[in-house]
Amino acid sequence: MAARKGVVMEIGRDWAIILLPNGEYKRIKTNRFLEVGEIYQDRAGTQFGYAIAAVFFLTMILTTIDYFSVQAYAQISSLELGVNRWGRVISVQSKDDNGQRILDTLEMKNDKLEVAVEKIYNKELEQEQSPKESIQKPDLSVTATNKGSKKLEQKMLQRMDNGLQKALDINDKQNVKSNTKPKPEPSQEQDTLLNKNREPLPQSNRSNENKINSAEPALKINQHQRIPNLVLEVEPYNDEPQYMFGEKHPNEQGKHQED
Amino acid sequence: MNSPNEAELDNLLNQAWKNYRDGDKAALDNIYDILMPFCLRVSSKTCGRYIGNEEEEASIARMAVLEALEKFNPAKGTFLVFLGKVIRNRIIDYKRKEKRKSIIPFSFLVRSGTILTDDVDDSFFENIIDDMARKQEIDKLKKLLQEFNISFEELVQVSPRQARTRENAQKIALLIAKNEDLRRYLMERKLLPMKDLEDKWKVDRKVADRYRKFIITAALIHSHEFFYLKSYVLPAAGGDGNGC
Repeated sequence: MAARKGVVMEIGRDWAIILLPNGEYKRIKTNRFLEVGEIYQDRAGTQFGYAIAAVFFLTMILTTIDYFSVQAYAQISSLELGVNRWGRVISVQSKDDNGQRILDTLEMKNDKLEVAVEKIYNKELEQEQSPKESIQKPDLSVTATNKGSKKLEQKMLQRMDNGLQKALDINDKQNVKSNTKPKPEPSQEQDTLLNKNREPLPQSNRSNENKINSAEPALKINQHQRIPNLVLEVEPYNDEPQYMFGEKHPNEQGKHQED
Repeated sequence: MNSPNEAELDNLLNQAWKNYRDGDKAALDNIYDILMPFCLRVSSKTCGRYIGNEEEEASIARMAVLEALEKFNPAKGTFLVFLGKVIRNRIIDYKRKEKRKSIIPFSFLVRSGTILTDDVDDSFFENIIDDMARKQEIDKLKKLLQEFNISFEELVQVSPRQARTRENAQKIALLIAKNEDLRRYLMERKLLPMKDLEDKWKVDRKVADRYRKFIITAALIHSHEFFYLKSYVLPAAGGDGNGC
């Protein structure tokens, strides 16, 4: 509406009758202090302000609606995650009991897709309910609600991959750092993992640790799995853990006395 | 300041000021009734709310009149503008003193209108003088309309919404105001000369009838030479009043 301007003809408590330049009489609502005979002018700023506020609220509402609309469904093992256009998890559904168990213990609504995938993977590992192979490499797939948007599917799949990769990386590190649960029969895969992590050590200057590792046969490490893990944590000049387990290598004993 | 009465008023005030300066203290009484509405209006505008005759600000304004009469110099402008400045300054001084004395009242925060510290130029006071001249016209028009049983509230209801219709109605009004016979008929009978308009001037009866009150008002504004309001009721095309 254009700014109005006119002569104030009559005034009341919160209204005034003005005569517009085109000869029209108009009753307006106003709380401004006006007197008869004065020229009234609409404050253009007020209307502009209202327009800005309206646009702002409309944007807010539309964004909120858009946020909660599922653009694609992402499948990871037995879970189905509804994802919005920004890759945030809006809804979660499980296909079987296993999935439901994860659902019951995990809160991943509003999480980024990467983070949700990471959480699910970690939980699966923890529960160890599903067969090892499927945990190591869960099925990932994305279906967009709008069938045309292959790009979105690709993007979401990429994000899921990223999340999974991150979870795998962290898990690897954790395996190295401390494996709190002693596993009676570590799988072949974990075994190689341990060996792999041990490999760079000879190059480091931790000479005493190096000796332990190289001196022990691979089979023995498997039997006392905790030892190598803990040894890795030991600071270069701290040999405490070796005594903690009361199991010392005969060669080792002599070395300590030397130190 | 383009009202025909403006110069007259200025002369009157200047004369009164001269008399007052020459020692005729009664000169103030002559112009008091003219000055007071102006004083109150300047006070109201300065405070951003209605100031009645009994209020503190009104008495400050009265004191300011005396001060203005003492200090006025005709070479520096008109008396009313000078008086307005003095009143405004005194009221602002008063408000500042009040503010220092007491905590700020809540109304101070929500007050609308002029902000006290705003600098104003001469046009602020000239506008007030114009506003007052306009108010005089409006008051006169209101009285005239009462004879026709028309109120502004009604005019809001019957104002033609469409620009074309409004233009036509305004042309009819101008026609009535310019034609001696039609005008006399209107003033004497308090009715529109429907028959004449229709027969002689080929006016559309529907428009004339439906917007009767609107047309009468516009015709009164034209015929009574309301200087300020006239421009508001002229047909946009500046028609000469015969083509309808």
